[in-house]
Amino acid sequence: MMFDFYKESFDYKTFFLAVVLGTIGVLAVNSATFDSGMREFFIRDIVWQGIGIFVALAIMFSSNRLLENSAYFFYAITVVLLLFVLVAGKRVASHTSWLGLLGIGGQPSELAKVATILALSKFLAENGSEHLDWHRIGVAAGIVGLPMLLTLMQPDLGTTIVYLAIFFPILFWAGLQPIVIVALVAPLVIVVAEFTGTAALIITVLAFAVLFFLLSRKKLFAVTLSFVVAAFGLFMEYFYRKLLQPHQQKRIQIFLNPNLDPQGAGYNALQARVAIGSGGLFGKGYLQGAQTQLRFVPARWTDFIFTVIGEEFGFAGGAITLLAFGALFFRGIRIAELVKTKFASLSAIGITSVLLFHVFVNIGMNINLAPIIGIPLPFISYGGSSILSDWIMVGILLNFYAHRKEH
Amino acid sequence: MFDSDFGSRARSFMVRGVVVIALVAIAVKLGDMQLVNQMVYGKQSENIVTRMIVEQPLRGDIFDRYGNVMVENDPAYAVSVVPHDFKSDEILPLAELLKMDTTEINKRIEMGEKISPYFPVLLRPDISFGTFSSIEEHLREFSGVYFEVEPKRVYLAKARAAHILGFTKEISERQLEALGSYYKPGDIVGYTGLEASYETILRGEKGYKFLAVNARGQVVGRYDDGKSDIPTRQGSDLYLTVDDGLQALAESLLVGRRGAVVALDPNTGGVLALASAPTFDPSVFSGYTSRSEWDSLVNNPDRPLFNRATMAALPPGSTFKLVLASAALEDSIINDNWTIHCTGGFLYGNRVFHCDEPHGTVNIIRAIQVSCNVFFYNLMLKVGFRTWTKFGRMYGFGQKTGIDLNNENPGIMPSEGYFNKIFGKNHWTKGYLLSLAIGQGEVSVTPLQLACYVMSIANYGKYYQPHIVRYIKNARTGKIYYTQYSERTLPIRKDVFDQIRHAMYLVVNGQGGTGFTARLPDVEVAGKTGTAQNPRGKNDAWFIAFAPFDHPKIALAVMVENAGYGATYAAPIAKSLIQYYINRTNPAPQQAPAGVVAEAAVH
Repeated sequence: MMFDFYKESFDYKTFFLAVVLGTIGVLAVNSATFDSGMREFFIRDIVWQGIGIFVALAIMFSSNRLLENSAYFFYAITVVLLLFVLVAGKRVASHTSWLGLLGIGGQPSELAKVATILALSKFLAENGSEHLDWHRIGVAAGIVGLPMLLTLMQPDLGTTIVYLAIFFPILFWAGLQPIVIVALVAPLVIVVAEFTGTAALIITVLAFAVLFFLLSRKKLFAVTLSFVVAAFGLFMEYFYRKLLQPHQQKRIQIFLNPNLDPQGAGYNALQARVAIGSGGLFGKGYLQGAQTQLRFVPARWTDFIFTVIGEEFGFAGGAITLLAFGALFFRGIRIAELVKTKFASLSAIGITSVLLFHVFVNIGMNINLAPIIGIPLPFISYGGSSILSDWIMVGILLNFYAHRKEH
Repeated sequence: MFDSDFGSRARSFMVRGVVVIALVAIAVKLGDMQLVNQMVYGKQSENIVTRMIVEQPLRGDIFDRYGNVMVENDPAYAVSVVPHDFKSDEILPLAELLKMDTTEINKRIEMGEKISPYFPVLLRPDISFGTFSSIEEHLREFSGVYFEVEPKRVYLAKARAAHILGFTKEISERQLEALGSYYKPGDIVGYTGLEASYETILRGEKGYKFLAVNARGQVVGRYDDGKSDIPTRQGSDLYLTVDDGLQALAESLLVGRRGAVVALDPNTGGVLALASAPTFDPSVFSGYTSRSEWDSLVNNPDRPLFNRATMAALPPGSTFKLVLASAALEDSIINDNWTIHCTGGFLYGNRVFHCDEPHGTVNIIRAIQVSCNVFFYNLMLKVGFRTWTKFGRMYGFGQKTGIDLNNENPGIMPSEGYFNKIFGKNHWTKGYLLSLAIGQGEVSVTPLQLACYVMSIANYGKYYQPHIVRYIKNARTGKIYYTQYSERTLPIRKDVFDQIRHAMYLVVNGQGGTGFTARLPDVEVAGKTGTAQNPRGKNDAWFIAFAPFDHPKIALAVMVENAGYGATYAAPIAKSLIQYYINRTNPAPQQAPAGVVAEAAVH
């Protein structure tokens, strides 16, 4: 019986990959906090990984329809929790006992990501494909927008941006026309382009116009979209150059390029780059990283944990980590193809894209490829709430796989 | 308008493509850093790390109205330590070398560790070159100990001008929290005077230097060949309205006293001299201040750090009679035909209010000239509380003057509402007003306010915001910024000022004038004496004056605490200052260079 289950229903590949990543995490957190009076983080990391595995297996063994049926309920609870954090967190800033009750302040927002994936998937599964009109896209945007707004008010910009990695990929997978996706993404890209420079803005607007013409059969539609995007670009140019104060512009510049602020964010970025770059092919050896062991890299057990891997295990260590993540993402996509329900398929894509986004941005900010927005590296960064929600997502994938043949 | 393209093969392919592109992008960048450029980063990390060194900017200089340097910077050596690299068993020998307390060293290291264990924290500023060269050899034996040249304030003025200039000192823990993230422990910050009110202008901006440092804390070179470094930006210079010579004279005349002098240029409101006694030596604070030196200044019962010129609010005595005179004449309640017969006392209710002597029949001019209290008791009852309060406020009493120094006392200009509040409604009588008429009782003013008051009388009602800084000069660009000050005109007729000014002339130059001790043979001085009761000892002596009478070039207020008669103790000081300033042969004030008006008031 158990053997049959193992063979038929247990996605041991996904589970194994997650365990490998969790192990890398435990090793890295150990090194980051080694000999620095922060040993409790290492112990707690192991405890959280253990709890995570337990929760993942519990979700896997739960019934076929449980996730889909409870998606909205789960979503509602996390929204209430987010509101609670916002109201109570503000009112009793120094009052830690109830925060202790919830673990860490960030906990609801980590869980809310998972709940939003499930709720959006359920909505699109029931109102999908041929029924998908502008009205329903609006509702879908509302489902994502509500927790996103509450997270922004905390304020936690990094986690807020993560919601975009839920919204667009799931809509894409649901069958939304590429041109609509491009049109929805355009304003975001325009904003970033504007902050980069006027030349980048013009090139971006032109690139979008070309994309619209390539993707649309109706030329008038493409022209209209191009004009809207160009107008938005003009507005951003005005907003950025005229309405923002120089110090506000500078803050945005520093956000996009921390090297402009060598005293603050740039110092962290610089130390992280030196640590990783000096790792070479095989690294300096476990617990031998000078930069990380000498505690030059700040937040090295959370946001900058990849510096430990890069410095102590070198390119080889980084590549193994990336391969493990890559294989996990491919499993996620494969499960999205295997499952028979649309809800499961959309959720699997949402989980995969959220994890991918975390990996890309987190490692990216360690190696000067992405702005420093402080989101954790899945399974590896220390943080109970983030580790737990990573394992919940794995548990959901395992559940989908186990029930993949059921409608 | 939407395909039913859910989960299609094409979309599967694209999703996998995104995963591959994202991970490959990271791998390529990693390969570039770790394989291609490993040598570059390796060299940085090899031995081992970058360290950020904060470079302190040169603080701006301060000049007097003739362009003489009052404050500038001298090099001094400072020793700092990187908490992480420092071994605790080194504390004792280091303390011996630096002649410091081990507890103080410990406290400083702990404070710095809170910020970062890798940033140097200042241990001991201001080591003379001699001491430094004798211990430099030994200092090198300690790990994590650095020394750097740090500028130190030096005072070159003839005057101390301690209450104008203020002093700089290492930032306190409380200020660190209050002033924001620019400041770090060990930074020098303006505590009082112009050093505090113009802190952000004088201080400049810090620079940052990145060094490659090895594991033993030795510097092995510059990081990135210094390309990432950010240079310091020098602070701007202040050019004052102060006359160094006059300031020095004012200070010398107050030696051994508790008191204050404020002299203004009545044509601009610029402060020519602002002295408070006892004073202190601001250079005590530049560099290293020992606990005992600090304590002796703070605990001195005469409070040398207290700026009496702007912060001491005291009853101004008879100098305040001109407020009532202005009110009565401007509102045409009386004219100079209205007389009172003074028998040396005034019975009100069942209390006798005194005059110094029987003055006989006096009109308003004579009453000012001989300072007849009885005349002003009667006049107060005629003018009334409300009108008197209105004119007092008009002259700026009860409000801060807006001088460019922090911590100004607004004083008290009583009103009916104020009396109702402090005594309770119907719990005060008109008898209280009689004291106010002659500047006694609940009214209190600062010497600065009184100087502004006599300035506006000298000026026929022009009230300029008093100020010390004339302009700011950007030390790098040489650009001049004029600070903007307000001015207003008091709504009082010219003939009223003519009468009051005439009476003030007679105070000094007329028969029986109380201010004859300020008379000068070659300059026409006008003034008014004041002698105010002080519950803590002898009377406070006051004198206000302006000169020359026709085209005033100086207006001043002198206050000497617990001295006695204003004519005896305050007027001679005013006389000496006027004589010096009017006859001074020094170069004319520096021509105002062309410049632009600074955007905002600074303090």
